[in-house]
Amino acid sequence: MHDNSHTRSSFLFIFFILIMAVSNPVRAADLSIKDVLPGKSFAQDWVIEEKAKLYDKDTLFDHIDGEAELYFPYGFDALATASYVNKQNPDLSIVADVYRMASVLDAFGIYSNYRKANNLWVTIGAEGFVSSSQLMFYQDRYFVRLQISGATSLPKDTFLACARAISGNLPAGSGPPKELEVMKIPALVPKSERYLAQSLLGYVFFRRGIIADAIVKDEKIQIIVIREDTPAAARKTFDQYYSYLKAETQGIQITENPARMRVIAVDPLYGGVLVEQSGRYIIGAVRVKNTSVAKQLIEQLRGRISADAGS
Amino acid sequence: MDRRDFLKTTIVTGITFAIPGNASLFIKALEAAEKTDLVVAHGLTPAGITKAAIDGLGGIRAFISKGDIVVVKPNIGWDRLPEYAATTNPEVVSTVVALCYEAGAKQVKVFDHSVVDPRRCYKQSGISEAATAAGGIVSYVDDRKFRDVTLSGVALKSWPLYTEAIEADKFINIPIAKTHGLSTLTLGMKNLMGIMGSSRGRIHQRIDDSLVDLAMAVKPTLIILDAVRILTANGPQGGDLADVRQLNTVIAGRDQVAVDAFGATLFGLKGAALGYVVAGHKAGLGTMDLSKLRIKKINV
Repeated sequence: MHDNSHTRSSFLFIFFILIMAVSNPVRAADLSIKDVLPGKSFAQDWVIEEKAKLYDKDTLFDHIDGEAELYFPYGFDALATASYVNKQNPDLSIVADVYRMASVLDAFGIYSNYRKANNLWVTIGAEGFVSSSQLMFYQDRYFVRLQISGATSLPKDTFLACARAISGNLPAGSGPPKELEVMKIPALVPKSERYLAQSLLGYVFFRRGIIADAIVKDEKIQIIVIREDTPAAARKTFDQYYSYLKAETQGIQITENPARMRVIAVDPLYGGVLVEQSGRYIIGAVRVKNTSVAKQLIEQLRGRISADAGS
Repeated sequence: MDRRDFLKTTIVTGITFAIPGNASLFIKALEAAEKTDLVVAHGLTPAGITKAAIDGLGGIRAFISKGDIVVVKPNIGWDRLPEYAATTNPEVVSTVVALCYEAGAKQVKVFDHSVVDPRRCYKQSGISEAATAAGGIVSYVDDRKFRDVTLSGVALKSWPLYTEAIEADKFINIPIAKTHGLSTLTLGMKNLMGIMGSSRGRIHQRIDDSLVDLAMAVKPTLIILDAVRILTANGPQGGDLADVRQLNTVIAGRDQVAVDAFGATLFGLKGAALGYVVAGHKAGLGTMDLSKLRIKKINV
């Protein structure tokens, strides 16, 4: 009786552990970068060439040379890479790189550097695209880049099989970064958002922010959103831009309001601009031809951030 | 008549009387070499435009002598097929190798310090096969063949460089023109990093001055910039054919700064946009002012 009870308890415990293992997605905190790549193969004919190699901030140059510089502002932390060789054709392989970045926003940021409007989108991770020679996606704070070697094209299903095998090893994440929500105004060109982790528009005082395309009445404008930690920090950023404009251009219109500052001017690099500080945000429209159109966009952006601004 | 013209006239006259059969050829080559700083050759075949570019500078014999041991240094840094424009066009490389042998070179060595697995880079780039077929001695970089070289530069005081590169009689640099995450573009001077040992990534902290220091020490005999295809985005490794533009162009010159300054124009930039071009110009390595250069454009 005692033995049966013990056996049954042991069985239930093991069963419970198995159920937990199968049902729980990968937890970010538990994941080691060395475990993100499929260990042996991702499909019948594709086997790993040698075990995954790992790189960190000090060694990333050894894998991607100067392109590493692009990754550092996004809080690059670690990379796991492996080649999967085709058993039928050993010259053909897929190089799989998984980069761990500082946050979901940073993973999106590096991904958005490679994203183009005419990409073929695939359902993988938070977002992904595929071409004949590569597939990229991001999921949680991981950016995944798959590239072909030894040919110029590969069936998309092969890329997808590899991507899904990796995706299953990553934390499920919660989709795109919440910071993109503020960009979702009616005029936004879908999938045109880019997050730049340093020097938005090339200006050092715009330390980081999101830029996207918007179209209103056939006029293409770029919109920017910079989120600072506090309204005071946002005001300081705004003042730096205003000072720059005053030094570089004429005919500036400034609207001063303690809660909201607004400048309309011709930026030396970007033409017409309307930039506003609203609470902890800097929002703006760039390459503006028609100021009334820009005002509409700013109004819509302000609506998106209203819940957060000033807090 | 200045000293240069006097010497030229004297030499040409002497040779004309001494070997009349070769005189017109010699004069033609000498004049070409005298008048031209850069040659930009455009045409359908990489071999044809490579030869034309070198001929425009006076022909390969203006650079290579009988018995020379020559190092040809292409970009074999990436595991990519030639179509991706991440590595030097193999036909450009094999043409240079063949021309060196025609000029009497004793050995023509071809290598690069690849970024990723050299076995795959050498094969996928097509350079190993093409250069070998032309008689080139193709080898992987051997870590035992680096030795510390005093550079006494602004950023680099000394660095391990590849012995075969620095001991060769002649060094021909054959980069491909492409974008680069850190240095904006990688052209001739950046391609010299392929003879560096140790942790090359460290030089990226002072990339512009470091490249000039290296270029000052190496001073290639000839630079041939491959722009048959150029990589316009996501360099240096690329990977998307949509980022590649076919220009069917090769640029040849002796001045490293001038070649890179012209290379910048292929991407709609000025040489002044590249930090290492500006630093090289200021250091007296060469000139970035294209208006002061004699540039010959050839359609093949």
